[in-house]
Amino acid sequence: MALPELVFFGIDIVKFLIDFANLFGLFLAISLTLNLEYGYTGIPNFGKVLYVAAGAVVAGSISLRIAAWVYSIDTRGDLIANSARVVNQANALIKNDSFFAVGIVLLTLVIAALIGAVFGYLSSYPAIKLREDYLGMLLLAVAQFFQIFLRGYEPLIGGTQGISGVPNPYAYWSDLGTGVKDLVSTLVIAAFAILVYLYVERIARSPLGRTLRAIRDNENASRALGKDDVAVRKRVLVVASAISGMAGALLTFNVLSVGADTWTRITYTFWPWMIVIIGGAGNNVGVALGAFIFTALLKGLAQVKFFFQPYIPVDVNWFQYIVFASLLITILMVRPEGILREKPSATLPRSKLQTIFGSSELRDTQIAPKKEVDKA
Amino acid sequence: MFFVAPLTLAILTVALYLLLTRTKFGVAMRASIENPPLARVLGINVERVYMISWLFAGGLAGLAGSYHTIWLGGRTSTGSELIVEIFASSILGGLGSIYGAVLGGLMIGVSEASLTVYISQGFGLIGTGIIVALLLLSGVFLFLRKKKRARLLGALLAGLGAYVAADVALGFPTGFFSRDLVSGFGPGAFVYQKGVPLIIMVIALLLLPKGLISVEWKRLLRLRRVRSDGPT
Repeated sequence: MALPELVFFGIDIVKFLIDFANLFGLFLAISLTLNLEYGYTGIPNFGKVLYVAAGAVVAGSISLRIAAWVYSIDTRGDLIANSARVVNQANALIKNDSFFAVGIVLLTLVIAALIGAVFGYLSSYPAIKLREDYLGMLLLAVAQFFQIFLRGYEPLIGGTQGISGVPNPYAYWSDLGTGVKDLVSTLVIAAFAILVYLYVERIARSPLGRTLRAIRDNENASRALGKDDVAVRKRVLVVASAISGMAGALLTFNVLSVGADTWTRITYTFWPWMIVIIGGAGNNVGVALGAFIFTALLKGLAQVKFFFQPYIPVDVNWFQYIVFASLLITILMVRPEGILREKPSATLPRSKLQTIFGSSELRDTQIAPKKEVDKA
Repeated sequence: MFFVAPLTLAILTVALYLLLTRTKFGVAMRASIENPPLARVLGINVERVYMISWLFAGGLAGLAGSYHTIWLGGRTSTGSELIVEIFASSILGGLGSIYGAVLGGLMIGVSEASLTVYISQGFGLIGTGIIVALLLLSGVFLFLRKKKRARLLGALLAGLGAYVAADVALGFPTGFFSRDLVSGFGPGAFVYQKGVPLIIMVIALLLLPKGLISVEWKRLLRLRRVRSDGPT
């Protein structure tokens, strides 16, 4: 059972859709965690790539070591130098080992979440102490240092050379036909992204979500009402970073390679920021829409750009980024507050409140007064 | 050629200082960033002030870029390589101050250019100094601070200092870090050349959350004098 091949104007539709879904799912998950931090709590996290890279590094280094250990593959004393051989042997063995295939994904996800949470906890220390602009730059610098560290420190993932490949846990499904293992990877990412969406939306609608907005809008007032803003910020950073780490791990299992320069601050810090800004900070539906539009523009332009080569005097590979950026700026010019604005906190529906309090008390009061979202 | 950039820096610092404190427009600039609604009430066109300050900022950054290219050459990726250091140096000094930017840029630049050399070739005397400072600091935390957490930190520092000192005294039987501190990390340290200023910036910001410029040296000195004069 191989995946069908649908070629349309020279574009392999199935392959394109799988590619698109991978990127969309990952961007959705990462942007939603950023929305939780920035949109709801007001923490300007400019170090997002740090947590994603941490999770991805965990997936790359740990899965390779575990595969070598479980299958007792001879590493000849140097795992990094012999990684290609280890990966080949491991992939051949994973084909017949469903327990390992599922286990390694779950184990890596747990460890990546833990490492991400530790990084989040560490960055909560400056997040509480520093003013917003200082904090953003500090996290940017820390993320940059992490990348420099990965380049310099070879035992982990081989420095700038990287390790040649990661054991593919989805190789178990490779007997079913070409492309099926990629589809499984995509489905896992999609399921993860949906779970993250439901989770973040649940937080946003809960009393905790209203606490987050209260802390963002007026720290002193929320403190006066007895909300522990330090603890809340800490928790938000830990949770968001753990999810980012898991997204990084899934990314590694999808692209099957790790190296110090695989994750750049443009792709995993500035692009999620762009998605949150064009989608609308503090609105999960908006962020999902923003991620969709962003990914569609990015991938769509990459597919259709060659049709325009005859009409453009410069290399179309570079020109696509100019078009891409112009389109994003156009979106922002038309809708400066993002595609969907932040809505007033959702409370229980009126009918439910009436059953709780009895209808007489609520006859003339408006339950959810329309709040003007004032950013100034 | 090498004095052109410092000279420009000096002239620009003076000119910016005069602009921000002695001209009406400079005062309007500061007013509109401090409190936009109030500035509007006083008849300042805040949007236009923002626009003109963007103009200044872009022009000055372009000037810096032209000097950078004369001295170090340029590529298409120069901007994205430099951007983190630019952020770091403007933040390290402290926002809202010209001297802060000068100080921050100086610290980031010097630490990137020369500190890495020290790290790779060994600190020698400086390394010994660091060990002594570690022990002194641990003593301060252990015996002078009353807080439990400070004492814990002091105990940790004392342990680390004692370990390093013992290691050096015995001729590096176990130490990896202490040996490198004195004899140098070798050429491998140059991989971290871009990272050293970032680490310095992070540590500085954790100690001084509003940048170097926020330290009130006069008050600090006065406090110390009062404390030494007071009853012990």
